[in-house]
Amino acid sequence: MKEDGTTIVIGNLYSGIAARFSEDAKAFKTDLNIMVATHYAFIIDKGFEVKINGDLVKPRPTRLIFTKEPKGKKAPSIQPFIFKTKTKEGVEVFLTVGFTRPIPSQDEIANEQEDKRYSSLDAGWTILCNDRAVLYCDRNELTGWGEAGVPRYHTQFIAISGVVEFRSDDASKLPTTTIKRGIDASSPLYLQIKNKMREGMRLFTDYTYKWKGRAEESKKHIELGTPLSLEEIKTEAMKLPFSATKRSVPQGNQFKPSLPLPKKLESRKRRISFTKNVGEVKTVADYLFKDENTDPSDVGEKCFDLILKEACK
Amino acid sequence: MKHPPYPLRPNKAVDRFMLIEAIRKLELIGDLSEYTYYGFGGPYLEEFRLLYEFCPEIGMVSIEEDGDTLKRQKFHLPCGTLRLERAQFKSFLAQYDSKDEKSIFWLDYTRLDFGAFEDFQVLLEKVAANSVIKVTLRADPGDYIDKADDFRAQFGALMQDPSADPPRDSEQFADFVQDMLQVAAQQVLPAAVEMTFQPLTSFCYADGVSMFTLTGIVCQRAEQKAIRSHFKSWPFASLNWGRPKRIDVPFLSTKERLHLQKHLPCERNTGQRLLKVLGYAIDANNRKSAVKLKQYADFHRYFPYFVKAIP
Repeated sequence: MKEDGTTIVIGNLYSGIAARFSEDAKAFKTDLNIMVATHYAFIIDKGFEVKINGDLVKPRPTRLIFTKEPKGKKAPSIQPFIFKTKTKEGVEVFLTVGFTRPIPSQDEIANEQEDKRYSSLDAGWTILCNDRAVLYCDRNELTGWGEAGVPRYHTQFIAISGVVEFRSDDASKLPTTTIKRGIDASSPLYLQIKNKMREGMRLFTDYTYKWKGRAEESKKHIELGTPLSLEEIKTEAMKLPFSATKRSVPQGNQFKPSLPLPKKLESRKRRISFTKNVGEVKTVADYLFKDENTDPSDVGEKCFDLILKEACK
Repeated sequence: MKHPPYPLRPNKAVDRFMLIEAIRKLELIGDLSEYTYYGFGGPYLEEFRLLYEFCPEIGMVSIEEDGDTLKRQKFHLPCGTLRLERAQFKSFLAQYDSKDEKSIFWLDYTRLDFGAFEDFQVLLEKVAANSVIKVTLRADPGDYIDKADDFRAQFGALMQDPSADPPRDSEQFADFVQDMLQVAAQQVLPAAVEMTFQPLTSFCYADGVSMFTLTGIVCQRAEQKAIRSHFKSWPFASLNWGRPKRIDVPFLSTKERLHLQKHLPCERNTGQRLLKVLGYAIDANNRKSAVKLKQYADFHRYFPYFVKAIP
């Protein structure tokens, strides 16, 4: 070898495995790239480098929206929920959950089946154990979805993402399976932390219910924030007012954000909502705006305004 | 619903004929009457008209979602054996059961959506052996200039390098889209399973908007070599996921075409020889004219004549 390092050569592959590298090479490279970019995102972000056939893998870490300087001390703003602790066994836990982007509108949720404009790929919980992702963007009961007041995962929650980092000098204390590639769902530590995961998730699922039908208004709050990586959130967290959680097990410190609430519609205002045939909406959009792809809510509002003008004559 | 003048797009017309030619070669594999063709015919049902003309024994089904377009289709029915089905394609696909009967599907999309790749994958798993799938997608790099992030967010799961920028050159972009289709095919029909997707033709063209189209056959791996041998000598075949062939036929008057016709076919220095026959350039310069005339020579048998007809 020309440089210091380690070369691993694997020969005598089973025919099915050999085929993955030959006939299925393109799909294999795609899948491997995604796997590395997601599961090793956090360690790549810290400087670890992975190349596949010479191409550097760019990480896809979870980034949560964090409003750094909310107006006034107690002004509601989009920030993640954070819990941190160090157990008696010496395991450090850092948990954070929040939004990765604006919540989807009703039209976008309804059209997701057709347009696939959004991908659920980044939603859900990622669990790290000593920098290794043992679970990536999970959206099932394993991470608390569909349990204890948390709804089952749905496209409405596509913007919600969380990360739990477990760190310990003694790897046997970590809540992983024996092969270190999954989470041990029966681990007492994990079950305790899962309570906090659900507590954090409820804040954000509840937010999506409160802002249902008003995604555009909610977007203004979310756009005030900046997407931050896990390490950046840890840095910003040092400036946040944490409170001790004496009742929870394990005890720790948490920051519960004050998320913006929608203003109640003025009593003099009413919401109008209806569905129409897609072709008819496009026809009217083209007629009014010369663009059949105009947002349906804009089309509806324009129709109302035009008739109101007529009615007021 | 507004529709562009589909029958007047010369490059698309050539591509349509390429499909007919590929279908005719299926006779080397099996009986054409065992096939049913499914397509999005549009208001004029052009491909069904051609299919009925050249392969009347194939059953035909047109799938259309829009009510007004369906009425136009009923008006333009080329024959009594074409069945018009009003349905959204995804719903049709969810219900579709091949019952082991061979089919030909043309997924003729006007956009580039992740959903199109999903439809392709669903079909790969559903169709019977020796069925043909053709996918046409919009492949215009101009759609993604300064929108590389959007492209990666939508198509990252099909890109060998999910951090790459989509190419800006239209032919490279078509090749990129082909790669994505290849990944999609390998994901659902990996080497470990009995069936595979064998590409037959691959083209890119532009009638205003750049498009990419791929045709392939779903077959047993054990029969793949035999099927390849049936298409090997066909000059328009693309059997190895190579770079898409460009269809870019020049617009020539009927008089010019008839004048050139007597010099075809022409094996060597085709473009230059036809340029000499014409005696003038038909593009910006002689070099480009020769390229266009070579295109004409390659596809002249499939290039429609546009004439004024007495209705």
